[in-house]
Amino acid sequence: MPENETEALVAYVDDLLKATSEDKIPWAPFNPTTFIWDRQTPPEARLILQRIERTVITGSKVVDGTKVAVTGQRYFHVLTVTTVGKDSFSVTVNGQTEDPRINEKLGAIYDSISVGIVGKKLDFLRKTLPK
Amino acid sequence: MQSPDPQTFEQIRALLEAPFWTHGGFWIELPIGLAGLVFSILAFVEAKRAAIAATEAAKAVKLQSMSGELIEISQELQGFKPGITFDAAKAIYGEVLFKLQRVMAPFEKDSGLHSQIEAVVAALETAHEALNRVLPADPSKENVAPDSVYYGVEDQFSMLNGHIGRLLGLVEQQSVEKRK
Repeated sequence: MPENETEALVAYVDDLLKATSEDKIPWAPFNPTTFIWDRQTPPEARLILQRIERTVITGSKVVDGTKVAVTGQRYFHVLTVTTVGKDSFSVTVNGQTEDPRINEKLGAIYDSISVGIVGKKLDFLRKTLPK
Repeated sequence: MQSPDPQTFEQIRALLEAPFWTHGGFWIELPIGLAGLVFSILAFVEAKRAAIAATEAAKAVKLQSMSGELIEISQELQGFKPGITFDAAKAIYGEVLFKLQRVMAPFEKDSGLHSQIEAVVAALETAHEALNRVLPADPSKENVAPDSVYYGVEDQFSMLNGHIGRLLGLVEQQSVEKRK
């Protein structure tokens, strides 16, 4: 991806992180590793953010005189934005293939949503206790 | 009863007192006895060898059928494609789990396959954990994020397939060695 496009994408993800941190986006859990936001105001869109675990090569070691790869697990994030309507259009931002800053920022959005949802769940549980 | 005359008595006594190897009959029976013993040992060795060969042949057949089943399982895992639903992924996992456990069980203690079988079992557990992480909160709305199951489990199922491929290689190698 050209550098100016990467910078624009980083700026977009930054704005999304800011709005999420300020609790302006009502993200909802879709499954234990995916959150969804259905934007109701025009342009209507659906944002899907997912954390995925991938096996990556983290280094190498020598076994019986042969160099072998050492693998480990890493989290990556995928953001899919789809417009809702007749001429639907979809953009996928894959944290594994894009600039590493994008994966990092998407991870921050994911963590922010998780913390917010856990907080809301605890508030709800506290409300159900007798006064 | 009439007692034997002293000469006959003396002949019987001399015959009984003489060492057994001086008897002509001993030298006739000895080779026959030895030949019998040798043939018995040879028959035992041959029977043992035949039993081992039969066991090895049975193992070779079992390994051959295992390799066929592993190829089939690997092809089933290739059914993971974008858009797969949670139920479809769970069904593939269930079938692959059952088939793998069935084909691997007889070879769990096999020294040449043991560690790779353990690797497949560990990969099965990792794939199961990945599947649990994409269990939809509301199954009726699963089509809202159609690729979330694929993204969530694709890596773990690819790794599982890789481990099955390595097990298949070892099984084929053993199968070839058994046929030699």
